[in-house]
Amino acid sequence: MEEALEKEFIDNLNTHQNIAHKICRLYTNDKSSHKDLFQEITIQLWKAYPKFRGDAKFSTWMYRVALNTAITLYRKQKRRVKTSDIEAFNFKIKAEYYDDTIEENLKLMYAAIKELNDIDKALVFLYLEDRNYKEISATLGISEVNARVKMNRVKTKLKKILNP
Amino acid sequence: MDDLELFKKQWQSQDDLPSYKKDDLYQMMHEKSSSIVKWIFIISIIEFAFWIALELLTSSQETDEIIKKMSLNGFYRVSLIINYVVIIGFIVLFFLNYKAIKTTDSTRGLMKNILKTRRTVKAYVWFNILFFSLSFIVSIVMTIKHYINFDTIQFWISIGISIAVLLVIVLLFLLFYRVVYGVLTRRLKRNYNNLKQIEL
Repeated sequence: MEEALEKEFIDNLNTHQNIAHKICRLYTNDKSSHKDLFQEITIQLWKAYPKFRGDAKFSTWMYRVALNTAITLYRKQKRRVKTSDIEAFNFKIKAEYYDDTIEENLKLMYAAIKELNDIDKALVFLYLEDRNYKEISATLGISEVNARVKMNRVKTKLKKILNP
Repeated sequence: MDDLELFKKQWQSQDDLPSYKKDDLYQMMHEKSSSIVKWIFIISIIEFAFWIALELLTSSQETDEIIKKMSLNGFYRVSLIINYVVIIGFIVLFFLNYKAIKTTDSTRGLMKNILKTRRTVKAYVWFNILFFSLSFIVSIVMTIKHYINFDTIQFWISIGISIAVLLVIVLLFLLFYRVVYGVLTRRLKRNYNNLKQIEL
């Protein structure tokens, strides 16, 4: 019984492990803390898994538990973001957009997002992942209207960082 | 297209994310958690145990004799009953709050429950400090009344030392709270306040 549940969990987690990796990418600044947070997320997901019912999508459920782990449960203090972290984790710029200024702006945007506070970062993360406002508000425990208002404010804040 | 939209496209198509093998995932899920909730739980249990141990240590046969001798019996018995009822109440409340902490809750709900659990233990410790100080002061007053030759220098020195010890203990607790809990819940409190501000 336990074994079957473990296997099912591992299969689900394996399919959706990108969600956790992206959260780690935003909330940690080096490879070892990335792995550390990923592990804590895995532990928390597994702990909550027996109560997971098939009526919600695994991914939706995982967004919530993984974000909660990163924002609330993860104990270690993050150190300040360094330029080298941005370079190290810099994802490849796709050829169709390639342009020096665009690449520079994307890097600046990434750096700006990493400097946001934990809550604003969570909002941006869910937005980047294309989650709808209903899900965003339910995940964070705020109203849909306020989630929209706050998201617009964060967008303006990011814009100002890029175009002062 | 604005910069954030462009970034979103890049974000969604990132293909250099690490990927762990199923064996690694299996190993990770069985590791021990080092979450803040676990630490809060451990520290809380230590606090409950500490005050109960202190209670048991101070209620030895010898103190029983002294209490009887000084006709503090009634006060002592009543205060002991109140103390135990309140402590049991706090422990029950702590476990109920602790049980309510769920990672599947919304972020705000989860933070609220963790802070509530923390507050229960904090209130428990404050109760104990106040109770401890009160019993101490009452005992001192009764002792002064009991001893006829209380105007000897040694007596006043020992009273002075006792009060100093009490003050030092209370100050140590305050310091302990500032430092340990400050570190433990600082980030949590900040995040909770940031989240609460969105709803204002």
